[in-house]
Amino acid sequence: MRPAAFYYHAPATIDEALDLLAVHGADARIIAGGQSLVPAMSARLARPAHLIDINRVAHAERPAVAAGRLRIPPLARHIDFESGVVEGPLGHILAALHKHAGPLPVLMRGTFCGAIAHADPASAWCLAAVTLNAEITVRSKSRGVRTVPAATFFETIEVTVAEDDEMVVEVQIPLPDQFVRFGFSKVAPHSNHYGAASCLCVAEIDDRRAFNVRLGVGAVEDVPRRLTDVEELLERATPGIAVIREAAALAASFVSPIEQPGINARDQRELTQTVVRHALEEALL
Amino acid sequence: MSGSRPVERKIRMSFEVNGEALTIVVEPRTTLADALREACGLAGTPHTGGGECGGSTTVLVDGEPVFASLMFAVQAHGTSVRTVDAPAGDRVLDAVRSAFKEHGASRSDPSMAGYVMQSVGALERNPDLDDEGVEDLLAGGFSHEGQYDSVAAAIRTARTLAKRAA
Repeated sequence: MRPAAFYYHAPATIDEALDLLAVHGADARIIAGGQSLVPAMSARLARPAHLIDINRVAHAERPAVAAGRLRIPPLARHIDFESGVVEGPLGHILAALHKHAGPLPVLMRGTFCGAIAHADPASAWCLAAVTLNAEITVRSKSRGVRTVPAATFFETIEVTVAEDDEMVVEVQIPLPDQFVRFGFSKVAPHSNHYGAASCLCVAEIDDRRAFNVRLGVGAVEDVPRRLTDVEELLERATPGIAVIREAAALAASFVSPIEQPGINARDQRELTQTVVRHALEEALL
Repeated sequence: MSGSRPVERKIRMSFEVNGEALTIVVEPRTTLADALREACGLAGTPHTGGGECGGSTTVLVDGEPVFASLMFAVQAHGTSVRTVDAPAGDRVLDAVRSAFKEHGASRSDPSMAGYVMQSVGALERNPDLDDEGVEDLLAGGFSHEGQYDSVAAAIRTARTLAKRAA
């Protein structure tokens, strides 16, 4: 199945890409890895008249650390996170999550920023962005730069606050404390497929107390979300099996599952309970 | 979306395919998979991968395994592409081919061309690919276990053969 016809543009700089977006707006799409966009175009779910290919943009590939934050540029591929893109726990967390973006050829080509812009509720990168308090920088020619917290960036399934003439030019993740622990769990048909429920938890533990707990749930609702009430429960108690079970049950009662093929809301709550329990066991015990 | 559809301008592009320099003219919407089949006459790479992600269309672009059905041909301008049609004499591909034969990994299955090329890509990136790496490579690909086992065994054998030939 071939996509519908389009005009192809291969800008050499972000500025040129933004010029094209300013002119073509809603008729244009940026393509980076294209691992979600090309199938959507083949199925006519997306029919951009103008395709703006940013793969020839220079110096947009390497994530870097500056001022206590990991800065991820638009052409950082999933595979670039394979073996610790930054020293310390954030590198470990992102390395553990990267393979959930898809099979090897998808990892080679797909990009972190592209996954954020695409806003699939089941994307592990979107879950990580929300859980790790990332900020997303978008740019347009007419309105310049604005930076949006991940918590408010995702609006609903495959919809973000970015306007038609705006492009995601960077994602910034604050470096967590060096002693932070994490757990990730996902229920999915296969390890490298998007799941029906996923959970990422990061926390610090000191003197048998958990603090700075952040717990995000993905794939269940229309956007990944931190469950702050569950975080507070975990910070009030000594980490252990009992509080983890209580927290998982509470998380399951808080979520509002979206419709997914072949699975009902009650099952999704059960899956939520399972992934939250597993992620917490990994992070806290 | 505006009413008028683009009248496509064909684009001339050059790349190297299985060691041969080629210049072809394609519509922007032509996928790399279609260009390899139609403009380059290489029938080994299927049009589409079936399923959700095109696994059987894997080719190596500048050494990186990618789905040729999820990339436009124009994006491969200036690159070196290797496909399952590459002639003998390619060390890792030769090793993978003979290992797949030895383990009877089914050649009638159209997805097998993709696994051959994904294995080549994975073993070139990491000649010491461990068993977890083999599992990751095959996650989600097979409907019955016998086939999974023979392909997994073939990749482990290919790992040994490729090292021996190095």
